[in-house]
Amino acid sequence: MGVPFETVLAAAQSNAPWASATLWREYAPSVVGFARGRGSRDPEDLASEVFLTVFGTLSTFIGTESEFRSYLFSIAYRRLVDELRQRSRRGESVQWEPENDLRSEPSAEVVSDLRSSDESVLALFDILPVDQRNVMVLRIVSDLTIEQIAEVLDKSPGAVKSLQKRALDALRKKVSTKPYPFRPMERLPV
Amino acid sequence: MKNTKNPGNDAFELALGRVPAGADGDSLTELLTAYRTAAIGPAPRPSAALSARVDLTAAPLVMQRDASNGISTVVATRRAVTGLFGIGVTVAIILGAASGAAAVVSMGTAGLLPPGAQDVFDQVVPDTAPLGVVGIETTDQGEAPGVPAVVTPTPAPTGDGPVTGASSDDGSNDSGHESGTGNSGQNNGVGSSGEDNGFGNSGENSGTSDNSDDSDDQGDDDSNDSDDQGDDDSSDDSGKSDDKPSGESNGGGNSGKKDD
Repeated sequence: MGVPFETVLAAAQSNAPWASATLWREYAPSVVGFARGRGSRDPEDLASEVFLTVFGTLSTFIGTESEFRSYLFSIAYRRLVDELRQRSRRGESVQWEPENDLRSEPSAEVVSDLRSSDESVLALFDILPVDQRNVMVLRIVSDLTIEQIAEVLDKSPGAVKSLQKRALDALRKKVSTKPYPFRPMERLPV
Repeated sequence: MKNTKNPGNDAFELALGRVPAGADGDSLTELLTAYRTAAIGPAPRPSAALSARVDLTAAPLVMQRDASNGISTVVATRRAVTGLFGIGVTVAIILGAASGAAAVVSMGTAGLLPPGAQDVFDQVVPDTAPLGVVGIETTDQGEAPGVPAVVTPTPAPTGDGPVTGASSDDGSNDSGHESGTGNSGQNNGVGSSGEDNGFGNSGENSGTSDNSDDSDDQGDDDSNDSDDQGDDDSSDDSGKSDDKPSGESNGGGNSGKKDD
C-alpha cells in the first residue's frame, strides 16, 4: 500500500534523508507546476527554496497530509510573491532573441512549435486576473480544495468559490468563442 | 442537473482524473487536463543546498495520501454510498435467506403452515416438536432439574455444562408449557444453541413469569433485526417474511404468559 504519511513525516522531522526524499518526490512536481503556472522564471529553484524552508521548520509542524499540503503551498505562494515583487521592483533584463521579439512576425515553424509547446498551454490562464489565476493553478496543479486554497491565499472559502466560478466562466467563454489553437487531448499520452 | 448547478466542479473532477470522462466531457475539461499535464512533470533535481538533506539515491517509496484530499463532498458521499450499497446487497441476500428459513421453521413448529406444507414440514423435521415435549415433560416431572433433559436430547454437550451455563436466563422459555416449546423451536431454526437453552432452562426455571418476559424480548429483538435487514436492502421478500415470524413468535410468548 505504501508508507503512511505520518511515518514519513515523523522520519522527516528527525532528519531522515529517505523521508525527505519521499516528500520531495511526492510534492516537488506540484510545487514546480504551481511556480511554472504562476510565471516563475526558475520554478525548480523556487521549489528547492520552498523545501529548504519546509525542512527547516518541519519539526514544528503538526497535522495531517492535507494540512501539510496547505502548509507546503502556503510557503510556495509566499516565495512566488516575493519573486514577483522583486522582479517588478528591479525590472527584468531578458536577453534579446529574435524568436521572442514580439515586433517581428513569427515564422510558420515557430508558430507550429509554439502551438505544440507547453508554454502555449500554460499561457491559457494568462487571460485571467491574478487572483483568479492563483485559484485556478492551486486547484488544477496543486490539487487543493476550496478550503485549502482559502487558507493559502488568506481568503474566505466563499471568495475562493467566487473567483473560481468567474475564472471558469471566462475560460469557458474563451473556449466557446475562440477555438483553442490546438486540440489538447492530442497531447496526452495514449 | 448537476451540470446546470455548477459545471466547474465537474470540469475539475474530470480534469483531475477523479471522475471517469464520459460523453459529456467538454472542451473546457480537455483544456484543464492539458494544463495540468503540461504543468506537472517528473520530480525535478534539487538544488545543491537541498541535495545535502535529500537522499535521492535510495529507492523511491510510495507514500499514502489522504483519500479524501481534494475530493468534493459530493463525490466522496457518492463513493461511500456506493460502497455501502454494494455491501448491503450481499448482506441482504444472506440474512434474508436466513431469516426466511427461520420464519418457515418457526411457523412449522407452531403448526401455522398451510396443510400441505405442514405435512411436508412434519416429515422433514420430525424431531423438533417431540424432543421439546419430551424435555419439558421430564423437566416438570423430575426433581433433579435439567439433568436428564439435557442428556437425552442433545448428545453433543457434556452433562453439566449446559445446565450451569445457559440455565439462568432461558430456562424460562420452556416453563413447562407449549408456548415455551414454540420458542425453543424458533431458537432451533436460527441457531444450534437454541436446543441447549430450551432443555437446560426448562430444568431449572419452570413456571417463572419473568422468563416468559425474556422470551418476548428475544422475539422483539429478532423482529427488529429482521426489519433492519429489510431496510438495508431492497429485497422485499426478506422484509415481508421477517415480519410474519416475529409477530408469531411474540404471540407464542404472550400465550406463555397467559398460561402462567
